[in-house]
Amino acid sequence: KYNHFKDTAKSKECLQEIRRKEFIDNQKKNREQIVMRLRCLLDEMPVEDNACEPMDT
Amino acid sequence: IGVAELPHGLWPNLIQILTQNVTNPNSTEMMKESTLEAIGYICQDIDPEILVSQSNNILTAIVHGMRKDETSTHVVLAATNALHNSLEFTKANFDKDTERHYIMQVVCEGTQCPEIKVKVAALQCLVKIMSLYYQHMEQYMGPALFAITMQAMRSEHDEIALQGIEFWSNVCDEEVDLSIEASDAAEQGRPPSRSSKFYAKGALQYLVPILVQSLTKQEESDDEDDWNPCKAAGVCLMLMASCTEDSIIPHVLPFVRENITSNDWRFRDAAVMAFGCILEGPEQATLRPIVENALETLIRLMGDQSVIVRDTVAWTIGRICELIPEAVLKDGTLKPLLDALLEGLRSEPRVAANVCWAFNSLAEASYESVQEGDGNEPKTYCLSEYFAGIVQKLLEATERQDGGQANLRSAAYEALMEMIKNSPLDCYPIVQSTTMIILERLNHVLSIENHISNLENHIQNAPDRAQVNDLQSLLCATLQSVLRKMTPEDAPRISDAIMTALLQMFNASGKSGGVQEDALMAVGTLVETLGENFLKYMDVFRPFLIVGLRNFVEYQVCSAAVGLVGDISRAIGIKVLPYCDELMTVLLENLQNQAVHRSVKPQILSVFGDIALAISTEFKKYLEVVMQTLMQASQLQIDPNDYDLVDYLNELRENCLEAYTGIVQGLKGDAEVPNPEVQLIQQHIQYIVHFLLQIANDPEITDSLIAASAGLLGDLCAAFGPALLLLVENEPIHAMLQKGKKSKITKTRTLSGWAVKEIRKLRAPV
Repeated sequence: KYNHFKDTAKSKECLQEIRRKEFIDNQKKNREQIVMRLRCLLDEMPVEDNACEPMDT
Repeated sequence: IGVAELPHGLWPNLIQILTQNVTNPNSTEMMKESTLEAIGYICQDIDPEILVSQSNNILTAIVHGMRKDETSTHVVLAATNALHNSLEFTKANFDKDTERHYIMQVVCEGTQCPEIKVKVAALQCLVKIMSLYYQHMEQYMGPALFAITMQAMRSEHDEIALQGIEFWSNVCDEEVDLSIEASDAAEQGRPPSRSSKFYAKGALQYLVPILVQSLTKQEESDDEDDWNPCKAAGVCLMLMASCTEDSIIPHVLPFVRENITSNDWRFRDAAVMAFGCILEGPEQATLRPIVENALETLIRLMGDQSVIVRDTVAWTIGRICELIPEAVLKDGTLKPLLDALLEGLRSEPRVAANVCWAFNSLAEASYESVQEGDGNEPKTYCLSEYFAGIVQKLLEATERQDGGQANLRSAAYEALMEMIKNSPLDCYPIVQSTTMIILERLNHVLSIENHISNLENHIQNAPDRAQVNDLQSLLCATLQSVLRKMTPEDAPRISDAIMTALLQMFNASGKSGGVQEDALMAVGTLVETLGENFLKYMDVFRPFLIVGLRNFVEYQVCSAAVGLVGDISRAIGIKVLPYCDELMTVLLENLQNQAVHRSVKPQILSVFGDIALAISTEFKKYLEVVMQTLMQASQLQIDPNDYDLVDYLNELRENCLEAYTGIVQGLKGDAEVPNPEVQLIQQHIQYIVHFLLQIANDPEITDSLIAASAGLLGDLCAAFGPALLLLVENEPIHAMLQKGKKSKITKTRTLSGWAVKEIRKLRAPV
């Protein structure tokens, strides 16, 4: 079960999966920017997506 | 046959027959052994639920076979293996004190059997029992389990020692989970359902000396596929560190100090390994001064005569760069460290691959340390003066003849991509020159591809096509990383060359889906970088895009092509219109096609929204068919206990919402007065709101679904005015928006607050 000794190099499949996720996340981000601009909300959005801030109580 | 029939209620007396075979005093040794093996196989392969009601019978047979007076070790071994396979469905027996005591007694006796195979099997049972029934182990730990496992860890037989170590790795894993559960419970103001007994922390003083001794038993010729107590001890030590945090440091550091300069390479290596193992778990603030003290020695050991030591040192430095980067990103340390790492890139592949990993973390940490949160690229950072040298050496590492070993080539390209991705403005000239190098390499590998194709037609032993494909994929990925950094002025200067190479790749890589997928993603990045300027490639690229969209057998290719349609729509806007009939036809066909992988379908829905945003009122001709499709998609029902399907449903819902949003905004337009075409949606509004209510009523609603729903609600209000009030003023929607306003995610709060305001505007129109 615990055979991840000095396991650092990511496999080909793992790297490919990371790239796929980045590809789709980037598209989501671009899509969101367009609709937020149309809603005139772009300036209210933080630079970092999903950034955590103190809760609105 | 039993595994096939029992789940259907057939052969109801099978288990009873098997039990009798074992308990019958007249059964032969062979009969008992074969029967217990059969029980073991059934227990191993069947859904545990099926056998719960028969667990008493099964345990009776197994425990009978394991009892002390059984003289045949074959029978005892078969019984012990069967017990290992039956542990999942014997919970009821473990819940009863007397039965649990008896099971534990026979298992513990098994660990003392002179026959090694039985000993190992009994220890394997203990490992599994610890994971499954941790909460019941308190009364056995002190009197039995601790001593049994310590003895096992010290065994000269690797297979026994491995089980002893595995036992404690399991304990740590379990206690880390319990600690997470405890903090979750504390956050929610309730007591945890289970609590940790902190066995690992209590055993540190006894375990660590054995584990570090095991670290000194390295194999001379280390095969990465071999598993031995030395490697298991390293992993166990890492888990111990995660579990016991700062407490482990005083137990490990003396061994590190005493042995890190030992004349014996085994002890030097074990010391560095032990140090590397405890870097995750303890507080950063506690570790930082310790790491800073150790760095000089570690840097020196990068030049050790033993490759095994150099490998471990490079791995440890990689962990430092990842976990405590502040310790290395400072004057006086950074330069000597970088010198040692660059030298390490020329070392054996296993060492060089670890160095590449260290560069990944260094690049990320250095860049993060100068980012100001305003989204602007930093001007410079601490790696700037070394950047050209690092990139040069990484490029050299990617070309090493032995790059196929230890995943080195891939690790070097990955490090190169991270360096480029995390580069500030003053490194841009290197990004430019790297782009040209990657392009050259791409053209070179394409010429090799042609050569291979010719050879494949003439000789049997042509060079390995898989390697060429892997290289093409890596080059496409690297191309993406440099393109993302490219300035809008530079991109058009090299786009012809890039597009020519990529088109050649589509033409040549008919057989490899992986390469096609990477090439499509590279086109996606080019589209994003070029914007409207991509239009000039559309006519020549269109056929390849359609081939990709139709390639549902290699669904990842199809998925990349679908995403690319969205990218192109965003980039060229209304100019995508001449291509839309064909693209929409293929996308709709894919949605209806059962053979298209389900993961592609939600993406297609979002892309409808992208196309609508791009072509605005021209979308009206696709409106009816797309609305019908969205209605169908949003009606999916799933088993709420199937977590994969729950995730899929959420993704599908979110993408439906993105599609509706794109369509409403696209038809409405961006002028102050909405386009009249937006009224075409009127007849679908009731259903859209019904869909929003369905989401709002879901008790497991996710944060991103709240955000997307709030966004669409606001858009509908803005487009349809007071007529909408009747539909959206209700408790579920109100509750969802209130929940969204209290979200931890800024986007969700912004959108929920905005939607509430838009609804409020409708109530009191000015």
